[in-house]
Amino acid sequence: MRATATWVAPAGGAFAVYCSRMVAYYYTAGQKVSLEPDEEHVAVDQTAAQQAGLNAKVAAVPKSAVRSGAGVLVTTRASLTADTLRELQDAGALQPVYKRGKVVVVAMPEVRVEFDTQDQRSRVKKLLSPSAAHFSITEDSTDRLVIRPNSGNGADALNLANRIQEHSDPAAVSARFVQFVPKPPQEPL
Amino acid sequence: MPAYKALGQWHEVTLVPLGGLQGGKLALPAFAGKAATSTSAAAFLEAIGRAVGASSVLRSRIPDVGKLSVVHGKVAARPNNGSRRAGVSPISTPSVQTLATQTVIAEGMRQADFAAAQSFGATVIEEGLDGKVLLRVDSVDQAFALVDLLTKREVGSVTPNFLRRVASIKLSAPATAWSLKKVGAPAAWAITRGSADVKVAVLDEGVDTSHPALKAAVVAEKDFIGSNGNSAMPAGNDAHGTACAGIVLSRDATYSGVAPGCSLIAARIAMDDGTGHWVFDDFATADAIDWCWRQGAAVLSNSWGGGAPSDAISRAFARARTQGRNGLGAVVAIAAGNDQAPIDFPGDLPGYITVGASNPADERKTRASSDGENRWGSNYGATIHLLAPGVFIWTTDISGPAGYDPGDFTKTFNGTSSATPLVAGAAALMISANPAISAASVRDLLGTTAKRIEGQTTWTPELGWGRLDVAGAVAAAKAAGAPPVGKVLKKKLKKTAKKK
Repeated sequence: MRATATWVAPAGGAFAVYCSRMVAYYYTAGQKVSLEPDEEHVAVDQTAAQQAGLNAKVAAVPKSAVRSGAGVLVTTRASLTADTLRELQDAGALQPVYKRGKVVVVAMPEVRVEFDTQDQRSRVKKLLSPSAAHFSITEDSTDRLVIRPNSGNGADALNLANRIQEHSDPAAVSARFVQFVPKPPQEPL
Repeated sequence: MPAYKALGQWHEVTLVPLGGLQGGKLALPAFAGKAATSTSAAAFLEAIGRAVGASSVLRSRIPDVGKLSVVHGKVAARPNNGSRRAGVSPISTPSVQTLATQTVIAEGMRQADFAAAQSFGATVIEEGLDGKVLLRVDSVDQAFALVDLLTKREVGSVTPNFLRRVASIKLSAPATAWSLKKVGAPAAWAITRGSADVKVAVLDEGVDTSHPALKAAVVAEKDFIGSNGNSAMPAGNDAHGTACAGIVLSRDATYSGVAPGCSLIAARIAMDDGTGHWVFDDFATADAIDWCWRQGAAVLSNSWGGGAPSDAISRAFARARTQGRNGLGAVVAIAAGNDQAPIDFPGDLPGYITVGASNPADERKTRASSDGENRWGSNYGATIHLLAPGVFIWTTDISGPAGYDPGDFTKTFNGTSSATPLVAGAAALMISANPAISAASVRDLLGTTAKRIEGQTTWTPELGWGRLDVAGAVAAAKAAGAPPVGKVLKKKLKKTAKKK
């Protein structure tokens, strides 16, 4: 599998196994769900790319994009030069693509943690504290925590979500997915 | 009685010679929701004659159309995928007529068999692939006698060479908005046409909230996937949500929704990516669900699904169900899906109202059901709650040329996508009739009042509790009264008492 991040966090924190590779699972209802990494494709976060001044690079992408919507362009990795890939990645604008049956899943750099009890919240906070420099908390309320990895990488978010699930067992934790799902056909009759 | 063997079974048939009808009527039995009918024998013969005259292949088999016979009889129908029982089907119906010719197909004939056939008066008129031969005799009766002879001689196989006249499948709209009558909406409307206080949220690819039949019902709208802010207007031809909203509460007299008096909350959670796919953002979808019930939605209609399951979405649904309507719970209806396969997310979440599709003949919609839409079938599984009409549904379309049809309405919306808002609208009527009813009671009553179909006696994974009966459900809701004081209400009462 392709490495999707360049940074490895100190051992012991929430990011202890932080993205040495593209993780291929996530949790729902406490159960592990497999994802199939789609190494041929990458997703470009248009907003992040534009904020990083990569408008010209992004503008060229739609011509080769296989899917686009919700501010995300999915294109073949081969359609982008190595320099463009690196620049987009450095800007936190390049996100991993997965497949699940006929569905294309893009992991975005955001984690939402939900709590039913104060104890769950404390456990998660404790897990996160050693690695606090590597993410920012964008929402912190009694029943919810929203975390953004500073790398801007969706794979890191997925990995972090998995770590939180495995070590802190909150009410729920999800990495943000943008999904391209086959639409029910309404053929002209 | 003439008979032939197929798939290891003997089938006895009755033959009605077309030539013998002499200008009379050809009777065809009722089947699959279509009434028994009769047609002019002369017109029938003329139509067959035209087809035969235009085909050298048919001419070789049918030298005289007057010698054709209509085959009547019944054969065991193959069970539908996922269906537990097989019925009995007539051989000739108003849609399909089977005609016996003077020809017989045989395989694996030995020299002695050919000699016997020749002695019988048969002529080989064609040799096909893999040892098939087509034999012709002088009459249809002789053809069946030849079948009998060669069967007794134990040739490889022998069967009458039938001509099948199949009505082209008309995927055109029926002449009326059948679905509302089928589920008893007019009787429900005698109790209520819906209260404006009861808000139904349609979470979809946007709703044309300026549509003449919807505009007056809109009380809130928001775009969660695009950049339209407080507008849920769809892009381009994204007409799915507009069609769903119309099924719930269109106020047009001809294309009426089931709950035209209720109000609409439109949440845009998906957009077309230009390749026939919807784009969803899970967090945005979860936020939309939370926004809807916090806006006071009594019912959430979800004609979408598939993809990777998400706890963020599941928990938002759970909050809607438990915290919506000040603790009475918002009703959540979810489409089962159209793959004739196990139900996928979020329809596979337990405890909600997962809706499958039925057709005008009150059959579960499958690729083989009698409606003719053979490209899709209703999903099935442990969470299916009930079915509702899901083919040829009359509803709103994006106003103007965009959308499914050039005008403001369509007559051919379909899928569990169309069944779900019908159930959502029914739930809205139930709440209009009894504002104190809980979401759990609505769910229960939709099940207990559903019409059992296809011979079911109880819940099944394919049919749920049966087909939606709005009239029964609304009457039951009205009679149900207020729910027992639950935990949430008890807490509220205690708090109120303390304050006092």
